[in-house]
Amino acid sequence: MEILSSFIKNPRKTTYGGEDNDEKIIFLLRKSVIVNINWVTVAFILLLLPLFVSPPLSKLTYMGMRVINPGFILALNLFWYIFTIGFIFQNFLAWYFDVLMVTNKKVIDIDQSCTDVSETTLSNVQDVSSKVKGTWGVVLDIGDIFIQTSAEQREFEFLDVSNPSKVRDEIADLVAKIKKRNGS
Amino acid sequence: MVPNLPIRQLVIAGKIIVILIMVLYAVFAFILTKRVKLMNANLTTPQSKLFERIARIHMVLSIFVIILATINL
Repeated sequence: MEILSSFIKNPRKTTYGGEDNDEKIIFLLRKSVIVNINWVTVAFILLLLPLFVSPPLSKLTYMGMRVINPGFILALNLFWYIFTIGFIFQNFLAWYFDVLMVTNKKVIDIDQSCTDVSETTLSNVQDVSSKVKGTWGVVLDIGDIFIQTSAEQREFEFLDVSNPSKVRDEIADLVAKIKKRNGS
Repeated sequence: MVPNLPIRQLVIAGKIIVILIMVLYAVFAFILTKRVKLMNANLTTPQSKLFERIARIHMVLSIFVIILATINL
């Protein structure tokens, strides 16, 4: 399923702001899906919470009279689920739009809020390296990609990538191929 | 002896606070629609229209729930 994919070759119908007419996105990289485990767990708890809170709340009485009417409890429950959907949506978008792209011309790094965009031409790329850190990184094969450049921004780093060795290899091969084609 | 608390007033005050929180959340939902539009402008994907639709429905529902809560005040 491409929507959950963290390494896409030749992504379909994908463009970025500032893309040239003759430019084509060859790789699109996202953080590993596993990094979302924290907020997914929280979302699961949030979804279950009304099942435990609503019944005692609806039974709350004072001097024989119900304290909160059923209509308001329904509104409260609905609000809670809308809030949970908002929480899931916001966190998913933060993961989805935090990308590193390699086109036939440039390397582009877009951060999670899509407000910071850094790019450099492939001719500026000097070195591509990867690093797997920690026990969980080794077990789950998650690591970081570093792209050294000769431009003003010295290094593009993209953290928590799945299969970082393979990704590093693919990017390095592509950069070498395009540099050779362009004679640089 | 049961204390004579102004329970009705306290409950209404509590409900008003909840509705105010819902209003604040609706403002956040509106801002989220704008953010999604900006994100899609910076990076257009096959799911762009779906994200905008979800953001819009989310905002409409957050307004609806305010109306529902106000009716049941």
